Amino acid sequence: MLPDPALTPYPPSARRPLGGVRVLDLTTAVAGPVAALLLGALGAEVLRVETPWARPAHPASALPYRGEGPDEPWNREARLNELANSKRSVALNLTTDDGRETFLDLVERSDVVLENFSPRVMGNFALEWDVLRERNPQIIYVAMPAFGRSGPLRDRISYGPGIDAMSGLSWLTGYADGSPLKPGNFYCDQNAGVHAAVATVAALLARPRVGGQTVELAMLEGELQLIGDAMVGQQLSGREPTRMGNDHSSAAPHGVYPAAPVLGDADSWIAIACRTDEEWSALLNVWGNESVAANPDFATGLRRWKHRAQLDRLLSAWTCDHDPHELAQRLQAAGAPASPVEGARTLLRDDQVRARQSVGGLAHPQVGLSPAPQAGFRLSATPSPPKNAAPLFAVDTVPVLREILGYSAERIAALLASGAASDRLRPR
Amino acid sequence: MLELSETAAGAYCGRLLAGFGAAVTLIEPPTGSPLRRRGPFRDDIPDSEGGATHLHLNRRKRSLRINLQSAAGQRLLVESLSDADVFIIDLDRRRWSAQGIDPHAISRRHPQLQVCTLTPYGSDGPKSDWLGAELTAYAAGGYLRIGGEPHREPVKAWGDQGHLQAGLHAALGIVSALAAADEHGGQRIDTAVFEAVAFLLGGGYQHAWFSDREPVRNGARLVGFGPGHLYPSTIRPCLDGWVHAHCNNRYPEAMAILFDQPRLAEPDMLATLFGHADEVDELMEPMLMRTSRRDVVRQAQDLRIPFTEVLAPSEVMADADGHHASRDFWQSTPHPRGGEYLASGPAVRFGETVWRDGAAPTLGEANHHLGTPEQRVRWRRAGVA
Repeated sequence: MLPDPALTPYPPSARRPLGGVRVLDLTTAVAGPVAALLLGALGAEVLRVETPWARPAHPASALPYRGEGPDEPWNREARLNELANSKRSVALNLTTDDGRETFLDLVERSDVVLENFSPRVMGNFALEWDVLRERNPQIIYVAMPAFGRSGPLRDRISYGPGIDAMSGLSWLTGYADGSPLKPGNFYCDQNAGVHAAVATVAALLARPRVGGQTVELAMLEGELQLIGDAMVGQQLSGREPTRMGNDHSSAAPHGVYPAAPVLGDADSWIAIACRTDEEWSALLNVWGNESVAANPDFATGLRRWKHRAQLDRLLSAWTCDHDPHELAQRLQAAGAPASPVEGARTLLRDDQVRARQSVGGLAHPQVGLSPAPQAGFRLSATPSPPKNAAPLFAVDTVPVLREILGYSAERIAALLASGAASDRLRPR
Repeated sequence: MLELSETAAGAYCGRLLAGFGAAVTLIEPPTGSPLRRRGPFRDDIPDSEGGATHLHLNRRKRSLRINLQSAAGQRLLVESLSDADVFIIDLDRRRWSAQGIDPHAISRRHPQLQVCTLTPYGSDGPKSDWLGAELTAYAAGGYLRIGGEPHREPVKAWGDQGHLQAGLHAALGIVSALAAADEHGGQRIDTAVFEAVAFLLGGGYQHAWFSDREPVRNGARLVGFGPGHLYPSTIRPCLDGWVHAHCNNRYPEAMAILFDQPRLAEPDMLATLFGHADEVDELMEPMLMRTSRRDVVRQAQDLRIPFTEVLAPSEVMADADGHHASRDFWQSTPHPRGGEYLASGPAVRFGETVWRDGAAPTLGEANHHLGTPEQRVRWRRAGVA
């Protein structure tokens, strides 16, 4: 029986490794925002620079209102609540001279500019690398184009899932008897986001030696790192690698098997992977199926792999009546790798997730406590969990203009009046 | 950096940082890293120097062959760490003690060293001793559940994606720790494979927390969106394969022009495109089934609709558009048995600091740098190195 879901608020941390670093985040969609939120959690002050009409006034995916003060649906959009944590929000209209100049003033006082537009867009704003560097030779300019800033496909447009398709990963992902599938919802974006974060910190490390520089993370090239073995393999063997579902290339059983319902949900599964004879013996000890244990077809790893379809059927007939959490516990205790096929609902109830605070809570003024995952590592001396929930739209515009740029009240009022900057959502 | 790895997690962490210029030395047991035993191989002949995963993930590393089952081997490792900035460990946690691995003790002995462990569940918590194959750690992270057809078992992304994401997260932890080293010295970077996978779920937690709902896998379509979300974002068959179909998020009505289907621009359709996903698929089908991938994509992109081709690995490498060639992406790399193969080039292109590629090391090729000639003879005789 799983407990009720619980969220513990993330503790504050004053010792984050990127303290003192300021990032100007122009990114949209998923990949760039993931990079920026990771940098934010690591301690950078991330200013999410939004256009004054950037957020939909009535998003279809608004989270329920659970706050105090005004109810503003654009501040409760689920995806934004996920992707804008650990940032501040500043609204500037970069198509105006004053908005652009304000941005360049921020560049002078920042360490990183991060964007994931198609390659022509920064030029449209007249904010190319040369312009940024002239204002701040120490600036690190991180671009995350889909296909790169050069080459015949430079101006092709695509979101992450379309790049999954062009990398070969979609072609390889799926059932052995089925069509290509996505490797996940926004897998390419997530991958590019983390790669960009690593590259940004690496560029910060190199800055004392080389000064500011450009960093180009073509999303396609980031993903090709993840299937490089397939590319090398097909050259060595002369064969196209194939879709193989959850199968292993040489070990069995290695799959996902039906299990008894969890939380009333019949879509319940357990993953079991026996890579060695020892792990197979451990599985047999729990299974207790003497005919399987005595079957010569399953006596060696190679035979089990050869007869894996038969083995999977027998295993499924056994697992389907078991609670996946209890069965995984028993298999693990015996020495066989197994895990329930978890989902977000069960992870929020999982004792390991709670013990490590893999998903913690952030207090949002309009949706209350809301969940956000941590990155997959813990730093012992500089803890870096997510810092704050997604900021309300433009809530930091005036403080940033005043405190970081030192603009006078009159100048700020003029920027707000002209629409070059904004402290609220405006119609386009 | 020293890397003691046996999965793609530690190997990709080291590979990425080697690309950034770090000098990465792989510590291998006498039989070599398990990754060396993974095919395919040239002409299908198993070869510890010529497996595809090794040739890809261990590029530009050195190799030290040390028997960590021996006390002398463990001492050798500890001595080697005094010259290192980073130690990457992705050995199964249950085997740490047998090989003299104690991250806390290593940190105490080398206070400036960044000690990065990669384990299925992390180094603390009730499941920290659980075994984790890539598949089971991937299942534990929640991402497996959203892959595949709704009426079938969940299916994972191809290959070692869970381990590779863990390696990537570990690399972020390492560079961040290095960025803080002046102030904080060395630290422990405790990476959990299941957490790197769980990070991929992103907004799934919002749905789960606010509505106690679990997104249902959806074939090639996006998962977890309501009927008002845009569509398509899916994979559909066409004349000569598959295309990834995706609408222009700003101008979804352009789909009506591409497919010559006015229905695609009717108000009820545009208001609930995802709710009409089956109908959208049917409306796209006639044009798709008479048109090649390249022509579908060309016509779509002319309308700024972000369709792309679903390419097989050999087609990616064939590079019909000349895009990879123009960016000099595929790197000709010497195969240890002669000849060359093409390997992926830079993950990241820096303006000033240079991405570095190279060949994968032969087993123990750096052992001649260890100790004195006399010591090396002694270690070899004793089966230490």
